[in-house]
Amino acid sequence: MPNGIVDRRRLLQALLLVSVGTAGATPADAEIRVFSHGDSSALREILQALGRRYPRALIYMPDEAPAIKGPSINLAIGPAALRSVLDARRDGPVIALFTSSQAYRQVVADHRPVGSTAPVSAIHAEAPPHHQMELIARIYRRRVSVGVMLSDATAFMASAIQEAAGRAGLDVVLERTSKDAKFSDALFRLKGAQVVLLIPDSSLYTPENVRNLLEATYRRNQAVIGFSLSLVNAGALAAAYSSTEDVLAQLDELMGQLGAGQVPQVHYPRYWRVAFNESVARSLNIALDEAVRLLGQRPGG
Amino acid sequence: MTEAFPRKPFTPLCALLATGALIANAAYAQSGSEDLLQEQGFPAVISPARLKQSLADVPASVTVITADTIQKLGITSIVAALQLVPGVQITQATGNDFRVNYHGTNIFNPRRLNVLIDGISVYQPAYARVMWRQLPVSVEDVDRIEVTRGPASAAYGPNSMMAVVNIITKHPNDVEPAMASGMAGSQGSVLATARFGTTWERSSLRLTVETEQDRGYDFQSIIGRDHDSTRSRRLNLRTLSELGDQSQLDLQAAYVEGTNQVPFVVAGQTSFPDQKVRDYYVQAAWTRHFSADHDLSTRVNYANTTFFQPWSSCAPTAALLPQMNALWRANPGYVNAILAGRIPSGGSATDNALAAAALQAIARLGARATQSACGLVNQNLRETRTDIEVQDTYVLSNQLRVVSGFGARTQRGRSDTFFAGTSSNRVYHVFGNVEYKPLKALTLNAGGYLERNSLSGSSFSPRVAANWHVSENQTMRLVVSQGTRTPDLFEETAKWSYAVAAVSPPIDGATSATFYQSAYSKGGLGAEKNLSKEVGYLVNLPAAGMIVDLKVFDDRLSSLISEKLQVSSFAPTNSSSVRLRGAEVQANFELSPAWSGHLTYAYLDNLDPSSLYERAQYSRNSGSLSVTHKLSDGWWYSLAYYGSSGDGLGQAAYGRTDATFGKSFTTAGSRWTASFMIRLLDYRTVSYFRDFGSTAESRYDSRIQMYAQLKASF
Repeated sequence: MPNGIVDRRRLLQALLLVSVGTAGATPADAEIRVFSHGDSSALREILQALGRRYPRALIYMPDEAPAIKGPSINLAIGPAALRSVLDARRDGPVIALFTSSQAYRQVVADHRPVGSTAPVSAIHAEAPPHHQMELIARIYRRRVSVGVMLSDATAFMASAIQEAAGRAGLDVVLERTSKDAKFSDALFRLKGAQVVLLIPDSSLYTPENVRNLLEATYRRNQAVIGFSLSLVNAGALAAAYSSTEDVLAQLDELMGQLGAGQVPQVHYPRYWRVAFNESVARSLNIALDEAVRLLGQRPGG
Repeated sequence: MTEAFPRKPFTPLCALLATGALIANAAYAQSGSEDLLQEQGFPAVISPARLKQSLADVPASVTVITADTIQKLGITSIVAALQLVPGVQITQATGNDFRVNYHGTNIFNPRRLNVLIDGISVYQPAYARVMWRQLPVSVEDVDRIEVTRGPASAAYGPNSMMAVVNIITKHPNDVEPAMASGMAGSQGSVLATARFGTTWERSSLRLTVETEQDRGYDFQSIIGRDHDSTRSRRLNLRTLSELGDQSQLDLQAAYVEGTNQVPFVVAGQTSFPDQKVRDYYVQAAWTRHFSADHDLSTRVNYANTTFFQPWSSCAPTAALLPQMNALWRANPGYVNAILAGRIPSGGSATDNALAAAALQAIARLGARATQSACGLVNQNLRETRTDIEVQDTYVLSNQLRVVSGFGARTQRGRSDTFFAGTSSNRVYHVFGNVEYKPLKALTLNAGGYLERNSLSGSSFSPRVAANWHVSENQTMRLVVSQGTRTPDLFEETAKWSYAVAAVSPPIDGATSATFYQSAYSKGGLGAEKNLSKEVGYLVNLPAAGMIVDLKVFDDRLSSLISEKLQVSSFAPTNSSSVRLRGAEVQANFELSPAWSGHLTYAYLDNLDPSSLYERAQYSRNSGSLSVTHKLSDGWWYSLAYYGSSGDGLGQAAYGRTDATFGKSFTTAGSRWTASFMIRLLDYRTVSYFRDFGSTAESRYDSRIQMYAQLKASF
C-alpha cells in the first residue's frame, strides 16, 4: 500500500488512540470499524470524538480493511465512505453518519448490494423538518409562510415538511424544481414566502447558486434557515443542527440496540441545537430572545 | 451613501465543524468531488461590509414601502406611494404638477426633499425640482422605497434638508424572464408596462418599457376649464455583472419622454404652455470587495433633462418696447408708474433719461401702444449633471464601522429665458459616517457632509445620534442633525427675460422683441438650514409581526429662501425662518401571512413663520391606514384610507378611501394577477395657495374613480 495512505492511516489511528474519554456502549466482541474518505480538519475532529467514545475502534480507508472473522460494526463517515463500504460488501451492520438524508437514500439505492441482508442504518446529518419548523416558529412567534425548494431527489420529504409546518403553526410553500431547471426561476417563485428553508440536496445546491440564493433572499428581506453551520456563517439567519457530540450520543443508543440484537432504524438526529447569524438577524430586524437561542435537546437533558 | 452594519462574521469558513462540512459537502457529490471532507464549505456571502443597518441602529426614522405593499394597495405611481409616509404632504395642483414636501412649508417650488433612484439624485439642479410624472423608473421596477424622515444631508448632501426618498429598483436577477402589465381607469388613465429579464454567464439584465397617460382633473379654476393631461414613455435598462469574485459592475440607462399639459403660465397667453420633456440618464457603479470587511464603490452618472415649453402670448405693444425693457432693468417702479398712467419720479438721472426715452417710444406708437401684439415665447431649459463619487465602507471591528467618501459634480443649465445662455457650477464634497457600538445596548452614529459649491460657498451638514437598545426589541433614539439646501442655479444666477419671436404686428418693422419685465439674481445666497432634534422609540413585536416607530421632533428652519420668484418680483433672500414641531407614529403589522397592514399618523405645528409662504402647505393632522387580507386560491383584498387636515394658506383638506381586490393564479407556466380598485374621494376639489388673495382649485367631476389592472409574468 502506498506510503502516503499508510502514514495517513497511522496518523488517524493515533488520533483515536490518544483520545481520552468515556467509552461508549458497544455490542460485546464486535469490532468497530470506522471508514472515512479524504482528510480534513472536520474529519479529524470527528475521529477524535469517536476515539474518545470508542477507544477500540479502528479506522480504515474503505478499500483496505481486511476481511475478519467475528462480529463487526461498520461506521461510514460521509457519503463517499458509505458508497465504498456498500460496494465492498462488508459483513456486519453499516451505520452511515454525517450524511444527509438525500445523499443516504441515493447512495443506498445505487450501491447496496442486491440481496444483501446486512442492516444499513443511519443518523442523518441534517435536522429533521420538525426541528427546523420549530425553530422558525420560535423565531417569529406567529404564523409565517415558509418556502422550500424540492427536487426529485428530495420530493420524498414533502409530506414530512408539510406535516411539520402544520404542527408548528406555519404555512409552507413547496416549489418543485429540478437540477436542469433554472435555479433563479424557482427561487423567484418563492419570493412571497417570509422565510426560505433549505433542505440539503446535492442535485440543487452548488456554491454558486447558494451564493445567489443568499444574496437574493437578503435583498428581499427574506430570512434563510440553513442546514449547516457553514450556511449560517455564509449568511443564513439560523440553522437547527447537531454537533458531533450530539450525533455520537445518539450513536451510543444505536450501538445499544445492536448489542440487544435489534436492527436500528434510520434516524434523524435526536439531539440538536441552534445557531444564529446575529448580524443578519439584526439587519433583518428580527429580535431573538434567549429562549430561542437555547432551543434544542442536549444529550442527557 | 448606503447605510451599513458594522459587525464581523463568525470565524472564516476554512475551519468547518464536522457536521457542517459533511452536510455541505454532500451537496457536491453530484459535482464529482469524491473527497468531500476536503471541501471548504460555503464562502461568506452576506459579509459585514454588505449588511444593511437595522432599523434599531439607523440614526433616523425610516419608512419602507415594499413592492408587495404597492401591488396590494393598488398603487400605480411612486408619488401615490409616498402618501404612506407619515409627515409627507402632497398637493396635486394639476394632473402633472405635484408639490411634495416633508412637513409641508413652501408650496411654490418644493425643493427641500431629495429623491434618489438607486442612490442617484433625480433632483434637478438648475430649477431645483423633481418631475414626479417623468421619473426614469416604472413603479413595476420598484423593489422598495425607503424614506428617511428627517434631515439626511450628513449622508446624502445638501437638498436632503427635510427628508430623503430613496427608490430602490429590482435587481435584474429578481425579475421574471417576461412581464406585461396593463392598467386602465378613470380620467382616461392608461398604463402599460413590459419588462424582460435574462441572465447569461455572470451577468443579468432587466429592460423595461412603459407608456402612460391620463386626463388629469376635470377642471382648473385658473383657466376655467380643463387642460392638464399627461403622457409619458419611459425605457429603463439595468445590467449587473460579476467581474470575477471580487468586483461587480452595475450599469443603468434610462430614457423618458412625455408631454405635460400646462394650463397657465402668464396672463395674455393665447395658447397653452405645454411642456415636452425629454430626459436621459446613464450610470455606472463599480464595487470592489477587498475583503468581508472592506468594500469600495465608484459611481459615475450623467443626467440630461430637457424641457421644451413654447407658447404664444399677447401683450400691449408698449410692453414689448426695448426702451421699456431697459427702464425696467434700471427701475421697475418707474415702469409700473408709466403703465399706471403716472409720471415716474424719485429715481436717478439715468432713470429719468430712460423713462423719457420710454415715454417717447410709447408716444410714437400712439393708439397702438395699448393694442395687443402677439408672438411666440418659451421657457425652454436643458439641465445636465455629471457626478462622480467614491465611497469606502470599512468594518474595523465588531464595534466600529466607517463609511466615507468624496465626489465632484458639474451642473449646468442652458436656457435663453432663464439664464440668457448657460449657467453652471461645480461642487466638491467629502463625507463620512462612523457607527460605533461601545456597548451591546448602545449604538452611536456621527457623521457629516462637507460641500464646496462654486456659487454658494461651503456648507457642512453634521449629524450625531445615539440609539439605546432598551431590550432586544426596544430602542430609544436621540438624533441631532443639520440639513441644508444650497440655492439652485436659478436662484443664484438667473438672467430671466422673455424673448418674443414672430411678433405680429411688427413693431417698427421688427418681428422680435423682449418683454419688458426681466429679473436678475444678485447671487450671494447661502444655504437654507434645518437644525433638527428628534427623540424616537422603536419597538419590535414579533408575535404580532409589528414594528412601531414613534418620534417627536423639533425642527428650526432658518436662512430660508421663501420669496415667490416671479419675473415681476425677483428678490430671493435668506431671511425667513419657521419652526416645525410635532410627533409621528408608524406601525406596520403582519399578523400572519393572510393579514397585514399599516397605520401612520403625523401631528405638526407650524410655528412662528417669518414668511407666511412657509405655511402655504401645512396639515396639522395627517395619516393613513390600510388592511390587506389574503384569502385562499390567490384572492386578496385591501382597504386603505389617506387623509390630511389641510390647514395651510388656501389649502383644502384631503381624504380618500381605496378598496382593492384581486386574484393571482398560475396557468400554463405563467402567473397572472388581476385587480380592481374603487376609489372614493372625500372631496372632489383640491385647492392650493397661489399668492395672497389668490387660491387655485382643481376639481374632479366625480368623487368615485375606478381602475382595473392585469399583469402576466412568464
